[in-house]
Order: sequence, then structure tokens, then C-alpha cells
Amino acid sequence: MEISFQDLPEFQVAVKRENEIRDAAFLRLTTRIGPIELKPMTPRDLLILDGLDNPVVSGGIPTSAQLADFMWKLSTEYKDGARWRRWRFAKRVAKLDFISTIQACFNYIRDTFQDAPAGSGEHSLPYAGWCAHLAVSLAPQNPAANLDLILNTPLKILFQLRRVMRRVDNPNAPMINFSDRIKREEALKLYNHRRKLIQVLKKRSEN
Amino acid sequence: MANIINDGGVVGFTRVLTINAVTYTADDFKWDAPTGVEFTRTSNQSVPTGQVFVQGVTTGSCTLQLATSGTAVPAWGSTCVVTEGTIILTHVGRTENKTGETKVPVSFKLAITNSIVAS
Repeated sequence: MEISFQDLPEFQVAVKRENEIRDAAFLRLTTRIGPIELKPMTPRDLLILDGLDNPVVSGGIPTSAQLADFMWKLSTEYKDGARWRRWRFAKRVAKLDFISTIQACFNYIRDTFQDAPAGSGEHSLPYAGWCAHLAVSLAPQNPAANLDLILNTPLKILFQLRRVMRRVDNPNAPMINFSDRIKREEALKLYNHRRKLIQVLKKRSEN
Repeated sequence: MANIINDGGVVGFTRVLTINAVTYTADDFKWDAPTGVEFTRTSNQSVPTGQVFVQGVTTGSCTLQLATSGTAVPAWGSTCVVTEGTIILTHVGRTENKTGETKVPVSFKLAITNSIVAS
């Protein structure tokens, strides 16, 4: 049974959104949360936030201070060592609706990792940091020379580049998109409808 | 006018496959129907005067999307009936999971006969 999803509105919307996120990354567009503009997250930002155990990165519920830390680090207003500025920024974050701001930050993380590599479910002891793997996979000839460039490039761009390189290496490599869920659900729904219809028609022909 | 025009029943799009009574959504169908053997008849001056091509085994690949993360991954050697005939899974790749979706790349060959026996 062959199905085309091109005309399915929900699928069209999902694919359009995925592509908008991809294209926006190359234009380095910021994400607005309330009155605050967040720049695209880079591996360096992630290393720092992860190193600080900021729960927003791992999908946990942050305290208001942790939420302000997360937004400050990614804010276009961020300046290293600017304590006064940071204090004022935290005051502004505290005035935002806590729940909807956390949700917006989770959406920011979700969009950042849209094209991140999938997991295999196999676990082994790490022998190098994830940035080393990223650098070697993106610049296999000379990862060390490109390290700063990679660490300061938005993850959304790096993940896309890695995807393309993987597909070039292996044309059969599976790629998982958010829109796949819609496609899977719709395909199985149509398949079940079709099966039921065939059963009805069979019964009719028997009678 | 329709957005898609399929001239000649080109195989593509998403399909739903049933393998061992389990349904999968399958994407990225690729088929390859190569020439298995070919030879050329030539004159005494090596000028080609005829040729014969023998169709080889049709191979293909696709990516299976599992209904849930608990859905069984099809085993190597499993068979499945598709529009073109029966396919035999000859390679089952590594399962990958992300955002609740699970996919597994598979390669297959189109069965030549209806007598497929597991032994």
C-alpha cells in the first residue's frame, strides 16, 4: 500500500516548520521569549550550561535563578563578567510568567536539537567528549584546527551539516524528523481503514 | 491539478508493510534491477553484431519506522509481499531512536520463486 503525504495539512505544516527552523539557523536568527532575545545555542553554550547542571538543558524544572541563568547565557545581552547587567536581567526574567517561559525554553531546546543524531540504544563507556566526536565527524582532516569554529557555530547548523555528511557516506542512513510521527500515525490509520474496508467488501461479496 | 503525477507507476512514497504480522511504515524505497550477465556477439573484425542481457536479481532498500519503541524489529530473512512481488530481508541495520520515533534501515532482494524455505 503506497501513501503520499504531500496533501496532508498537518504533515505540510510540520515539514514547513522543520525547514523554517533549518533555514533560520543559517541566518543566525534569534528566538524571542517575552521581551528577551536568545541567540542560537552553540556547543560552547551547551558545554557551559551542562557543566553548570542547568536543568533546562535536560528537560528538568529549573528554579527561577536557574531559568534566569539559562536565559542570560543565551541572551543577546550576555556579557562575560557583567554582574550588574546580569542582576538586572534576572529581575526582568522574574517578571515573566514562570510556566510559559519554561515551556518556551523547552521549545527552544527542542528546536535546537531537531536535527541532532538519533540514539542507538547501545551504551558504551565514553572515551572522548561529545565535542571531540562532533569535531572529528565535521572536520575529519583537521579537527583541532577547526575546533574554535565548531564550538562557536550554532548547533542547529552543525547538526544539519552532520546529517548531510552522514547521508553522503551512507545513502541508506535513516533520518528521524519530528514530522515522522504524523506520517507514521496517518499511515497506520489509513492502512487500518483500508483493511476494514476490504473486510467489509469481502463480506458483502460472500453474501 | 494534482501535486503528484506518477508516470509509469514509479515506486516511491511511503508504504505500509506487514512483516510477520507486524505493520511498519516504510520510507525511502530504492530499487535496483541490474543486468546479471551480458555478452556481445562480434564479427571476425570485432564489430558488435548483437548482444544479450540477462536480468539480475532485483535488490532494494528502505527505512522501516516502528509503530512504537517496543515493536519487534523484523528478523533477517523475513519475507513480505509488496506490489512488485515478495521481498526477502537480506540486511537489517542498526535501530535508531529519537523523539519517540524508532527507525531501522533494511535491504532486501526480490524473491525469484514462490518457494522460500527457512532451514
